[in-house]
Amino acid sequence: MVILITSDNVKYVVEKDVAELSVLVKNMLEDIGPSDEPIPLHNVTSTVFNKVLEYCIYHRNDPPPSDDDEGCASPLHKYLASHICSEWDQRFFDVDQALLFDIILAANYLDIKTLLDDACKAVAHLIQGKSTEEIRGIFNIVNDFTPEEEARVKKENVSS
Amino acid sequence: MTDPATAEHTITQLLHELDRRRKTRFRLNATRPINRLPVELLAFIFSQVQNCEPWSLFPPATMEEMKGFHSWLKLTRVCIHWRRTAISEPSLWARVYLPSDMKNQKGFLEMLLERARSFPLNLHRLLRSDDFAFWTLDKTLEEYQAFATRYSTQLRSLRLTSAGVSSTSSQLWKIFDYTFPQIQEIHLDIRSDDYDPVSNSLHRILSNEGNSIRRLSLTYVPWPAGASHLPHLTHLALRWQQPESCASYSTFLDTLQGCPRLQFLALHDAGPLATNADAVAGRVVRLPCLRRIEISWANTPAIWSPRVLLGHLDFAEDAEILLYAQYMFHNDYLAEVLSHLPPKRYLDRVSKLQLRKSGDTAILFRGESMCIDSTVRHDVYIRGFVPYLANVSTLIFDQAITVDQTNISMLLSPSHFSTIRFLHPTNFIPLVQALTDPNGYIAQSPPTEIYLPATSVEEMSKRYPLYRSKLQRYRDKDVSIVNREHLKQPALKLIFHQAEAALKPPFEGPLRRIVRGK
Repeated sequence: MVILITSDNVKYVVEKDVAELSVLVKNMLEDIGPSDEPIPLHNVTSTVFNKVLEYCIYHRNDPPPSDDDEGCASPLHKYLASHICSEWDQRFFDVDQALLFDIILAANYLDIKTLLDDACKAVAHLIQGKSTEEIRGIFNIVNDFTPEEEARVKKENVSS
Repeated sequence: MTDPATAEHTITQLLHELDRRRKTRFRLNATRPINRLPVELLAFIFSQVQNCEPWSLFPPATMEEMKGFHSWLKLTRVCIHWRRTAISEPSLWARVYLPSDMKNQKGFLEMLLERARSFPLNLHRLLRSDDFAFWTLDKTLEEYQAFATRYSTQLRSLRLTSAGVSSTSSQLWKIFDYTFPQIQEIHLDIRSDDYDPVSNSLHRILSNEGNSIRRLSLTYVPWPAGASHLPHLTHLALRWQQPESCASYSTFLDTLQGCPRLQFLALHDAGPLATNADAVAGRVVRLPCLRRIEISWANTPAIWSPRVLLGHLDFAEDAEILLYAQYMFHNDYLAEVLSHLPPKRYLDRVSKLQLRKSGDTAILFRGESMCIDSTVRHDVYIRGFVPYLANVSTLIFDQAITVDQTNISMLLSPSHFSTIRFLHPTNFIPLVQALTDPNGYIAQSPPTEIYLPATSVEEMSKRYPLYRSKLQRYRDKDVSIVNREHLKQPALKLIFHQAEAALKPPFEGPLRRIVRGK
């Protein structure tokens, strides 16, 4: 078992194989060797870590990502599921935007590649098939181009 | 009348005000959660939106899958931060896809190449018949030549597709006279009257000791004879090969032997012909890195028999074997499908059988698990498949199923299953009754564990009022033990689980990409 402490001082006792899905934790465990010392996770709150942990427990037995060719971000087994996530994953990522982005930041910090890929894909699914205006609406972004810039960008896109 | 100085002052003030408002909007955007992500993560999300999958897919994406590929450019119109992020990420612009109906191809190509900077390029070009008409041929070849001259050292992937072109000019293959030192992927999907020129060019590239080809897919284009040492190849797909131009079994196995890093092999109406397999009897090729092999056929499975090919291969037990055919589960074809199942040593590994009703039609094996996806009800087929699976002990229903007398006899008669897992709520009472009925048929080793979603009890109470009192006893329990001493059988365990605590089934996503037929 591995003891992890989140930034808000919540202690988690996690099975080693689950904890080691995080490359950061895995490296730390390798560095410190056998020890009961808790590992601090400075950049992750307990609210976010609960979600991260839920993902890691569910995916603990997944095949490891392939050391595939450069430029092919998805591991082989994910190619097939590129458009259709599992029902579980869809439910998992059906959270408010702030939490979804916190999960992305946590996955990046903890270096959990599959979670980072899946979470970014979940954001991409929010965007896909939407118009520019709709995307602005989804993320509460306003148009900050000058009219000249906007005309130029539009023209550039029209040519495609 | 306003004097010029005042007017100028007013205009300046207005411009300042506009600029101030724009800056305010820019600062406001910077506070949005998505824009607080590091730029590299936002760019990564863009690459997902850009749908990098069509580029990563193997075999390569179909025209259908590539449709709307450039719609990702709308991201550059959302706000200044997104535009800057996109432009600063060369990989987004290095996927050069030029559909034949694109306006201003040249201008668009130049924009992509400029923003891709020195990032390795993936070029996907659709060839039209017009490109090779005698009045445009010189211009087309000149364009290719200019591109090859300028970018030959930067090209990482080349994909040429002839959409409906019945013959292409052999001069096109002069493009392969260039040296592409960084090329790692070649994908050719071309119908031609004469494949000799392309086969010769391919042979020259693949026979080059220094080649670093990792992915190769040939559709219609025959396998170039003699190319048998591809030390870096990880992905190979052959599709729609003419039987008369197929490699012999011996040559094909030589090829696989020369690909020690092969991870993925896809054969659709392609591969060696089963009719000449006798010549390699007893030969087995080890593929230590193989993770998935797909064998599929349209009309003529006998000549591309998966059973014969898999008998000559040896790979890790957790590698996946996918079989599919258009009419796989049609009544008339079932016997044929059964005759093409993998050899016994693969079938004997299977201890878990997952059944799903989906728009897919395929069988996938992975280690101890097997999944059948079909558009039809499975009960008809369980009797067909289970006799081939000597060690199957767990049956997983990943589809809504109503337990009735037909299903019960199907579940009990093969007397294989010690565990049955229902992933969807089901009326389990008739099954429990059958498994405890002293007058009913009891298999020699009836199931001892049944997993059910916890919601089954509530849902069944609503749908089957007759069972309401019987269901009462299972309410609010995680596990119920049903005594079967009167049958001299071990107790039956009913395990109710919440959706979030469900055991992960062996197979979740689709078994295969559904590539539309040509």
